Amino acid sequence: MIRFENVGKRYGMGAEVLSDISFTLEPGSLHVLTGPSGAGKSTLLRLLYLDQRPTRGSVQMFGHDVTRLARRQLPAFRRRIGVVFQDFQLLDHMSALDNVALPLRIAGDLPEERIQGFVRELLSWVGLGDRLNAKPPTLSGGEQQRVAIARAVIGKPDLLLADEPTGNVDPSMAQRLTRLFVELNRLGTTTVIATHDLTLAESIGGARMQLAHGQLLAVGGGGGAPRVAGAPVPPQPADFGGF
Amino acid sequence: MRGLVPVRFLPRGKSRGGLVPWVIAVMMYLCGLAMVAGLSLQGALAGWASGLERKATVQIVEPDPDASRRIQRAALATLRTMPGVEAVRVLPDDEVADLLAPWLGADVAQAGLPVPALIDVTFAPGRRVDMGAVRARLAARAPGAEIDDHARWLGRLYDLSALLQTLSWAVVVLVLVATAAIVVFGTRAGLASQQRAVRIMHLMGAEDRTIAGEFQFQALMDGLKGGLGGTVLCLITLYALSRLVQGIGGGLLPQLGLGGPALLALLALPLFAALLTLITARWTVMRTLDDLV
Repeated sequence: MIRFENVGKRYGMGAEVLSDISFTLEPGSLHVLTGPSGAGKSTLLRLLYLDQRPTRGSVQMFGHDVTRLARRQLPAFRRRIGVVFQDFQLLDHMSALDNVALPLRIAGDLPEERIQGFVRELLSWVGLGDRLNAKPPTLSGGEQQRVAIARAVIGKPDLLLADEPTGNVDPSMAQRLTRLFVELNRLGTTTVIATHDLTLAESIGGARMQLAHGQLLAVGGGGGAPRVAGAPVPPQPADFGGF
Repeated sequence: MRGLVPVRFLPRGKSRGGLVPWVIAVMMYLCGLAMVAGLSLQGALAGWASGLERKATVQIVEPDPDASRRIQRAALATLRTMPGVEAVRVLPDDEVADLLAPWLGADVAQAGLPVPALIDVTFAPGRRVDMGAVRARLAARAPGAEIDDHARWLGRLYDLSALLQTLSWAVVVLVLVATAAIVVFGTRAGLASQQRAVRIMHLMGAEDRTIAGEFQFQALMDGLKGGLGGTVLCLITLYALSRLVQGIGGGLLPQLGLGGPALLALLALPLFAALLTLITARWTVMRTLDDLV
């Protein structure tokens, strides 16, 4: 469970970018974070993926108040969070396979052979089985997006965050990616998708979190899609309709 | 496995300046030379001086040849009875002329100048000779004969040796500090050029030591390469220098042989350079990452 209580965030001596943000994300829930540009969506996501600390308030995450944790304790929490960045944030000099393998190599829990096996399976599942060794600059926007998603989910995160995940792809690919997130959420991952596209927000469903001028105007809906506890990643390709 | 094999996330060879191993090689070359100088100088000078420590020269400055010969005989007789004196030898006139030739010219004998008589005294090895007693007995039995045991000259030589050694070690320390500074700048440049990759690793939950791991691994390789290059250059230079010294002539200059400690230190230089660059790179990366949340 993730809980924000009266969270505020300001950069330097400027005005608060986020003010009095309070909400709770139940395990396995699906949320869509909406709001116009400049509303604070990206800042809220950065607080969620522990790239920033709030200026005030408390953030409970996986049973700990992460605002009180020492810096050296945060990486273990970050490894439980998968992030799909708006600009993908792939490493251009590494192959798709190596990009996706990175979270598992960082965790250091699995031997390289098993890592390679998982990554190949997952990349095949997202339709990139024949692009394993391709480097991001040679991939299309949609392909890069799928590599970024594969990297975000390979470590079986407890929390999946996506920032404008369909911003760089055509409508058809956007629809497929949306379905992918919803299906991932069905497998038990708490999911937050940030978008300013209201049509996309409608199509995703789930609970709506609406931000405006740094304040959370609405937290609607319930727990989102049904949860499947302990589901393994990568799932069976059949679960995703041959994505 | 974790921690031993770094997680590779940097482009090969682009996280650091390509010139860093070359600069480290130059620094290690200078460091090696200074270190060998520091370690070898004392041994070389001690070896050189030990030959002189067993020697003394009796000088008889007497313009009258008959008086000079009389003092010589008295001095020889006195010295031969002194405990600790192994051998005495009167230097023939032509040897004395050879010694004076650099200052007075080759035809010093023909010039009619009063040339001092010289007696070369060799003491027994390992015996401490009371030079005060030798002087007193010579003064009593062979007035006009003065003995010089080179003590003042040797004292200056040892002072010079100590100064040169101190300078050598100071140069070693300065070169190591400069090398560390170069590694700091190189690592910072690498971090700056790979800021995006570092940030991605950070956000994916990489520990600082994991991120530092690859930088320090590359610094280790730079240090090893630079250290090996510097050591090889140093060995070549020392070999050439020792050949040059041998060519100049034995006795005039101390032999610059690589003693055991100097050779060991030189061979350990690549490992030391690798360790220095590794620790410096790690420290730099860890300090920089501290600025991240």
